[in-house]
Amino acid sequence: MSKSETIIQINDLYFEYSPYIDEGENNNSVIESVPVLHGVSLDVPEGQFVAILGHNGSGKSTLAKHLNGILTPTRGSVTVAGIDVSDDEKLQQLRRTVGMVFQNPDNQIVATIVEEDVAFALENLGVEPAEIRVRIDAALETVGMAKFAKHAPHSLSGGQKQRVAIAGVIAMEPKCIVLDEPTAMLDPSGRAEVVRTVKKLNVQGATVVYITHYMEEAALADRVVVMDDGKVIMDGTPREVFRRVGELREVGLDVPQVTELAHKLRAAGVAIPDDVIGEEEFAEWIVKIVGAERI
Amino acid sequence: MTTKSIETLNLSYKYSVGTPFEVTAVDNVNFDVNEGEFVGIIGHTGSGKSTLMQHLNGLLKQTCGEVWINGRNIRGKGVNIRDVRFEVGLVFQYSEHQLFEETVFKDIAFGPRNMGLRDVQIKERVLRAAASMGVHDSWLQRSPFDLSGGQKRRVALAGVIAMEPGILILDEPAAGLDPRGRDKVLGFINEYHKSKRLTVILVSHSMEDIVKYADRVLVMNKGGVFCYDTTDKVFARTGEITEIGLGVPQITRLSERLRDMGVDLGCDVYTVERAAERILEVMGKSSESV
Repeated sequence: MSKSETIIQINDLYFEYSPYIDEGENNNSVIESVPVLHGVSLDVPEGQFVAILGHNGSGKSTLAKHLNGILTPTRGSVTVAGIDVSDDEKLQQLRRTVGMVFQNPDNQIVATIVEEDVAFALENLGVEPAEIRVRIDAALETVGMAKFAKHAPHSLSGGQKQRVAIAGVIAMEPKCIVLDEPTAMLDPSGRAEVVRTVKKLNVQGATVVYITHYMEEAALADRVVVMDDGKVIMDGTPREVFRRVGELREVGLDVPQVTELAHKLRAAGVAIPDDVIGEEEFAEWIVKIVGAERI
Repeated sequence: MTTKSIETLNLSYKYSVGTPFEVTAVDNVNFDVNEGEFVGIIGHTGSGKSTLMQHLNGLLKQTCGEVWINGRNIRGKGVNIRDVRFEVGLVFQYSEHQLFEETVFKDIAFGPRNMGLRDVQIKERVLRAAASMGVHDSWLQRSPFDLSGGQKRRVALAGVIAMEPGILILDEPAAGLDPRGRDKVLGFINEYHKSKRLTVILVSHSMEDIVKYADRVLVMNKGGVFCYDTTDKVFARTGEITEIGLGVPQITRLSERLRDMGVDLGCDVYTVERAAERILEVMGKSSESV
């Protein structure tokens, strides 16, 4: 793969929160800096769908916040589409390149009408009104919310609100979309709506960095990166990562139920591969094995 | 005869009565919970489950119908609604957002103090509640805002438990936590339920969590009771549950798929352990090793 195809380059990234003074009752003690990331290196090719897993406090959100310059490296470097995130002068360009979606839809919606919310960033960027119209319509169409364009956001469900937030991001036509637990506050149908939308954006060419605690969602990605204690401890396809059931448990994570079942059956002597992650392929394996036993 | 902890009779609640925006959020609900039972409640967003829960300690007043707690009509004569609130502990979603005190100790003590207990009793209750939710002694004098999300959640739970309610209602207690945080919170709740034999209602979107802990499951749809039965019987109705927009555990979907392909594991497969046992049985192997 040539260098030009890599869109995100994270090079030996260290990050620590600055020292601060704790104003206690008697003593103003200096709290030492808090290290969060310890030498993270990661290259993401353009168009890839990367899921990031890790328990709370493992550093995954801190990593995500480097991708559009909300945080900048203490040491090491992060570049996205050739833009160094530490370069203040290129911050606006960076923010157009990398769109962020956060956990709580209610914190991301600013306007009182859906389409005005989607237009918010475009107006700030000084995009021509005619062009804004075109982009809003296209973005709402993509996330399946076109018929709610004139609705008030508070009348929408969580999944719908989150899709409006995503529309606001894609209206800026970013190359890369970073989503930090976008489904954590949603019910199962809302989660499915958001996951479908993200998958669609990826198919249309966007590079996606997707942080989640749901293993079934991560199983849909091209690549799974597992973080623990500010480091990348696993990096591979969902199959390669989820087969490491024991190690994942040790860092406080789950595996999809199907993978867990395959592991239990293997332990009981059933010849099923240890890297099964989908329901369909699992079912086919069982039918094959049971069929063989019956004959 | 077992005592009923909770009983609702033809309970209905309408928002914005008398305006064009009138909505029936809870529609003629009849359900009961036995003393010491662990009941799970599922339903998609807007199905009325949170509205129903807020009736059980009198936060909302029904449009019609009755709520009975421990054999008393909570809107009946001579019943002080304040006492009902101490008897029925309600833990909201994202309960850690309600932490406000300077220290963890003071936060947990807030409820017992409102009950008018003496300092020494308050202290006992705080320590007991903290221990039952895995809130470490060394945290008690710290600010609750120094703790992690899962730890804060447990402090908020301890604050409700410190009032020692006989009925505990939890609205999505594990939402937004990572797998380890989730298992800890639900694990402590389950232990507490067992040791005190108190009545617990767990509202959750996660079928996996419900099947792990609940004796019976109430499925809400459009403000009404869609079904209310033992966990086995409810999850045997996978097709209908999926139709009303609820997810079933991945393992249950898998078992449905296998049945369609000619491998029948039974209609009551919703844990990985049971699926493993049944598959081994079908293969004619002993399931002891699982």
